[in-house]
Amino acid sequence: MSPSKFQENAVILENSNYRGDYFLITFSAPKISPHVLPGQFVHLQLPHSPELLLRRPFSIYNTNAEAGTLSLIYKAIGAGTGALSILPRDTVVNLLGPLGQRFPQATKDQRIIIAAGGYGCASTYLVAKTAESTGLCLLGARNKSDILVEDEFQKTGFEVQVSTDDGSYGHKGRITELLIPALDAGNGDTVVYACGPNAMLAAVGRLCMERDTIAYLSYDMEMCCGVGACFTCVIKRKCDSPDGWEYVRTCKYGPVFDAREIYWESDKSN
Amino acid sequence: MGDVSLEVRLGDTVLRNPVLTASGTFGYGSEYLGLVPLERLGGITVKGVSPFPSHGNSTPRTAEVFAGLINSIGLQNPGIDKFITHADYLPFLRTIDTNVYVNIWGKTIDDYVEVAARLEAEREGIDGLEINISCPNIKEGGIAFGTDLHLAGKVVSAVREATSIPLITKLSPNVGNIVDFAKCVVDHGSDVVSLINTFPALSIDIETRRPKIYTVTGGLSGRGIKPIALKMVYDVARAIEVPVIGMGGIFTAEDAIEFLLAGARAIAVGTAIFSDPQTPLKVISGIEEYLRKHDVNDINDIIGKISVD
Repeated sequence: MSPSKFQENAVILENSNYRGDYFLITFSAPKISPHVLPGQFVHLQLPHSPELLLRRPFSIYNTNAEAGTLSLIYKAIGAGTGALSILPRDTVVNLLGPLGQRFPQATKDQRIIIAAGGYGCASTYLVAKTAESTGLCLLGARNKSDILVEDEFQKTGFEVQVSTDDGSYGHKGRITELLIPALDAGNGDTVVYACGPNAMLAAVGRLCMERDTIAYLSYDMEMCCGVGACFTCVIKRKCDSPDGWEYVRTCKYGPVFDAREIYWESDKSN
Repeated sequence: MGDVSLEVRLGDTVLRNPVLTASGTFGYGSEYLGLVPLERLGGITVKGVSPFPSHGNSTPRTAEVFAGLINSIGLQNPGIDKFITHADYLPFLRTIDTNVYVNIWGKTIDDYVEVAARLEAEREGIDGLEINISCPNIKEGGIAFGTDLHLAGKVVSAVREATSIPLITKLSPNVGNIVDFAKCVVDHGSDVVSLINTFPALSIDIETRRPKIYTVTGGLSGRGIKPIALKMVYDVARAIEVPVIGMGGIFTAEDAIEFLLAGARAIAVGTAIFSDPQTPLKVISGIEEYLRKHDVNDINDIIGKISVD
């Protein structure tokens, strides 16, 4: 459980086109910012848009606790992100956060592998930035223009490898094709942090579990309340019930889950 | 200027103000601890509890639509055993200084009776039970009881026999004449009625041609249903003697005041909480401002005071 969450009128310091449909937005949010842990999210109310009833959840890409700022990376593809993308500097935006459970921290002795698909890099960057050890960061996307914040990951000391579906940059193919040799090259204690589309998370989870490697997966789910009240964003987690699973609220008990907790489709036949 | 009293009575219980949270929109209260000062609310109506744990429906469960929200959660809940014993539920609710109403449901009349009897034995900290006979999103129970006068009466009678805790019955708007249902549940022992629950609704993704929620249809709530809810509250409040809790698309104090003028003794904020968890508090302070502005010292002096020639 996060120790503290706040509702804050944050102020946009910067909201600029990062590349293609991607935007980088930075807020002055002095209440929330110092409490953010890697993997947590904010729930953002779009101002001047009463027709957009629901808040939108965004993983927190980066923070500067001293300056009281936090940044998000988002893709302007829908009504909500579209409305967000045209908000100018100094706009006041109401945020709830930090919400959800963090990526558990690796120990100094553990090797870290980050696997980020698309804008999954936004939720995993703080893992690299705050890690006590270094490791490997795998960035995967459809094409070169969807590979984001590669330089920032490199500055953390992580080795970066890239895959694109169309081969326009880095390895041509899936991110898992980079993950397999990376996992197999390790001599023991590796922790994997992953964020991306659900199919990618399933593949990463399976590969890691087959090798008894711990994998923490961050799920991007549609949410309403963001705090566990409405039961919209549920995911199947293993439990002792007669069915062997229960629906748990991603916003409250996630968005980060240990791959071994997830009730996978393949668990049905067991 | 003197103090304004916001206190209202629901049967035997007194609310410090008439603003409740609607069942299903405020979890079990603990989710908002630290964000919303719970002790300032008139009361909390917790998410529906059944005798058995329930997974609820498959996902996706909600869809934002213009002027509202369609949901089909399917009454996921931990079941009465866990509700009574687990620290997140009833034990937590007993620690907060506000009125607590427990929404109850089942697939059969016996299910309703079982939950009511269990809560009767654990009634410390519970100010009322809200009998849910109006959920449109489950196959068995729920709305089946809320759209048949005979069954509605039977459920309420059976629950009445199982407990002396004050009873609220939450009515469905999906009936020919909601006033008939209000009168029926009152005749069978309901101390209060609450209305309205959601309207069956559908939204389709035209690219994939798939419904936006798993169960195809769900229940519509939010701003778009407010005028309809208000009309139903107006009709019911004039027809019965017991208090009415009005709800349906309340986003502002002005919305709430309309419901009070239409005859609601208390109101519930629901879907608006997802947009802003502070909505109930803003509604409370807005009502207080309105009363001061109009030199009204007691909120009860505006309840039902719609001016019709």
